Amino acid sequence: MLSLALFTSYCFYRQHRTDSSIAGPAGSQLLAIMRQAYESLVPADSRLLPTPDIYFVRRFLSQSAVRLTGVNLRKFDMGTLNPLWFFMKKSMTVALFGITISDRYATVYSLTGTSMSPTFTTSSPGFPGYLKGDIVLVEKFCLEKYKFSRGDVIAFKSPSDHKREFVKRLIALPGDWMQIPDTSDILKIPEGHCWVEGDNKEFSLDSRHFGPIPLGLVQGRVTHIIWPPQRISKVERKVAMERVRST
Amino acid sequence: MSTAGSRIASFLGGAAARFGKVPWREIREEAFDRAVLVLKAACFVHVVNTYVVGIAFVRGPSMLPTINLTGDVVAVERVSPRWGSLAVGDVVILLSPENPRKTVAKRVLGLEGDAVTFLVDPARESASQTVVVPGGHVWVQGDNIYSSRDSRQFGPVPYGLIQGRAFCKVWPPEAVGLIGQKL
Repeated sequence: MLSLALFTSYCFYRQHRTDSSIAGPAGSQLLAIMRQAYESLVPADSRLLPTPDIYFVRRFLSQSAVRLTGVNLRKFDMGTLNPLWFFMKKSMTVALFGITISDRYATVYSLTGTSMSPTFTTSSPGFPGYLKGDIVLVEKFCLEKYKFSRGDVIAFKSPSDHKREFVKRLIALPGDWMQIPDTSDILKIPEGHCWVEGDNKEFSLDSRHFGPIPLGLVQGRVTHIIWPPQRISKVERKVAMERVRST
Repeated sequence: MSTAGSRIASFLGGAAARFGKVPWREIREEAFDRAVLVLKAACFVHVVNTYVVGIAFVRGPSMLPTINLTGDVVAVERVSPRWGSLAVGDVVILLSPENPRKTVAKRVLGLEGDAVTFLVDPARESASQTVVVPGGHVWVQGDNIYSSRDSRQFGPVPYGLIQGRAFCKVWPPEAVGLIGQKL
């Protein structure tokens, strides 16, 4: 039992070391200690293999595979598959980190449309236009407690199509009394909702059209313009003081 | 006195030498590798939880008898809301439109364009009302119509608030089972 445990731990360790391909001095020292422990504790006649080395197992397996199929997988494995596998593992890791960061902390959006000019410049549709528009940084820390200020620029999912996201300015928060633009109506923003409007009043599909939106649709707060280089700047907060009364 | 002093000095010297011999670089590298491994695991958990399947703890009277009053742990899949393949009768987890920090579980009773008929206040009167669910919205209601705050109060909710479809109860052990569609 003990021999089996020692053997497997040694093999696992060995395997791990070779897999991560960093057999540094510390690692090989530990390996030597483990081997010594194994050889001193387990009598020679009851060992599973003469030397517990995973390479023996591998070689044995690959040799039997060669004998069975006539194809030397090992050459293949070492020659072409390994770098490819390594590259795939690396890119998977990078993707995992990237997705997590963009989901939880901060992300970038490329903006299209004219509803927020002059705060953001417009981009014409089509491929080159995609990069002509502003690219903005969206932070997501505000989603922890849903703490926003009036005048922030926020990104949110469209209430009428969950696949589209809009960037507009936050005008009023829950509980605020607000005068609806171009009318004399006063509206109290319901709990958990907010009022959003584009900076470009003529070409904007916003709360004047679909009413207050639930805060749960908000995806983040736009803080900076990061592209093109000559427009790198912070996004200013603009409050519509004359229309909104907070309670 | 002098021997004690020299002994201390030699001990300190030995300690310094031993300190110098510690393979700091290797230890640092190994610690970094371990930290990266832990971070990778955390990221993996996040990605699976956000895009494939996660678990949620649901409690309260609104989903009786499907979900227990004292709380059940349910498995939530994130794929069908993303692909837009939710159907009428599914139990969904959504951010409450009245408080974005709260998540609630309700049953979908109408997709966009459906006409939904519901009892306005079943405890007092039998008056019913019919509404047509607007585009990009869903109509959600609790299974326990007498004690549920749902679309009957706050109207249809945007599809974007839906976080996932609860398809299976995983805890407590005596309640384990699939959550079926029910009309």
